[in-house]
Amino acid sequence: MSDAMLLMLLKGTWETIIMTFVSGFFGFCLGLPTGILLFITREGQMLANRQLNRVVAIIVNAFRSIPFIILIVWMIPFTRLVVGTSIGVGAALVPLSIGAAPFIARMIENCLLEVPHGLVEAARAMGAKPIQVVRKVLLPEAMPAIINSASITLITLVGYSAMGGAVGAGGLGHIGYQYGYVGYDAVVMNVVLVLLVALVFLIQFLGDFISKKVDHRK
Amino acid sequence: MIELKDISKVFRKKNIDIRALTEVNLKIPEGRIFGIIGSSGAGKSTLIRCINLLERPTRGQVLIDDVDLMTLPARKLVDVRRKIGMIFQHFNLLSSRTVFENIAFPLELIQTPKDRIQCRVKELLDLVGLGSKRDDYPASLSGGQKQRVAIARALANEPAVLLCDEATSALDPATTRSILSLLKDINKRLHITIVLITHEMDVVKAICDDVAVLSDGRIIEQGSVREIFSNAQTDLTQQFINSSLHIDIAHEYLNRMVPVSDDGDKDLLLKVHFNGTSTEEPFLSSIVKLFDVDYEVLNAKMDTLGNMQVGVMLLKISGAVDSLTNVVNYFKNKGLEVEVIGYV
Repeated sequence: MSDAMLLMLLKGTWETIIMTFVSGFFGFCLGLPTGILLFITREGQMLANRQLNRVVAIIVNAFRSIPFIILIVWMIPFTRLVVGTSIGVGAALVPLSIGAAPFIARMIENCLLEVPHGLVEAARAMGAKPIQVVRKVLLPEAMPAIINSASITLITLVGYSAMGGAVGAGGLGHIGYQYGYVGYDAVVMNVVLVLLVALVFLIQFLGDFISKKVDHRK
Repeated sequence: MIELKDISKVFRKKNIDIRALTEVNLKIPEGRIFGIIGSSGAGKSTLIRCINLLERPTRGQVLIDDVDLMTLPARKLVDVRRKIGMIFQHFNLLSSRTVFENIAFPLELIQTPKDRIQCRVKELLDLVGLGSKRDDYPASLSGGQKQRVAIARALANEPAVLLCDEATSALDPATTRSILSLLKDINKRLHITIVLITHEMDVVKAICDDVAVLSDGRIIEQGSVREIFSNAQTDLTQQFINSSLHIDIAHEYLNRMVPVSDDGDKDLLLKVHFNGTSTEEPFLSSIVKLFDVDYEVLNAKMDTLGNMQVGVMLLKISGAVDSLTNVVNYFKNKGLEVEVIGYV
């Protein structure tokens, strides 16, 4: 394999990592508050509000039902507005973040549902305001589960970013598509696969490690 | 003083109304330990949650020092709740926080300075006897230790009232006793009013001053523990009392027991109930002197409430047939409730 090829693979790996983690970050910025909102407006929760809950749930479900490859194309005008272009890593971050956010929101909602209700009740009895319950009880208690959800999200994003590569986003997906699907270079294609597998394993390993570190339930 | 006036709570599930509480009236004087006893499903948990409005009653007034909590805006209610501690059957400690951080939690909520938190938590740890567990996580503690942490946490803001929601129901008998004596100690030393709900008369007997009996969402009886034990008005109350005074007869006796004896070579098994009768004379030695019999105490569960005796005793009495009959009549004349079990 030539030096140029190696350099390209390295660059592709770096771009995939950037796309995964940066869009994961922005996805959490959008998804975390949405997930919390979904949870606390549920029936029987602190700020139960049936209408608001239903509206948010509809938006989340609508975005979750759009296939990612279509979301990329559908969002092109918005992407241009935000980053000025619709091609490259920067442009891929927009649909990746928006695509991940509703997924993250639902996962956060589920993590919070697993926190025993008695803990919220105890905090309320001690005079905690809803915002304090979220910050000091719900999020810390759900942290091991949230970190597990984060690994799942990031791994999903590795796959999404490869899909984005097929429509001009760069990264390993782009290389795999160009050299594998279009050019049928078995070596490059397989190297790309190995790199993707390694990345997924690494994320899962780190996720498990951190999740175990913050889990004091056993 | 806590006063509940005409409290009713209706839950609505799938268009069916479920009445959890019906016109409950209670007055809980300051500095007392007030027990609320009832079977499961009687509405105990709902009732205790109405005191700090974790459950909002459908109708009625919750007065604490003459302030009606039902009319308070959310912000004021939060302040009132900080002066009402609460502990739970399943402890409800935060698993992500150490013992120290759990007790510090209510202090953090009101932005207490760090150094103040440090010394307050230390005081509380000493009070509940867990100084050495400061940096442990709840998962590594026993049930009794967890409840001690929960008690320390509930006391952090120096509350005037402590609500105990089945606080000992998940604990073994020895641990239950130690937690109850801690609660009694707290009540005495810090003059905190304690309201506890339970389904065990033993808990009421052990620490309560007053008791109310809850059945199907209604208070069916209330009064001082002595009054209730000596003069229960309802069958349910009597059942609760009996369950705490239950004694077993050994199989050895049950197997060879006969209902009547004619020849006098068998011993009499007798159950004697003390329902608050004050026994000034030593009645056991009296029967020996008066009727020339021997006795053996096989089993007994006795308590003294004030100057009254409450309990039950299983006696085996041996002597002539006539003497045995006289003993039974003697006890009856003394106002004791006797039950002839059989002859062995």
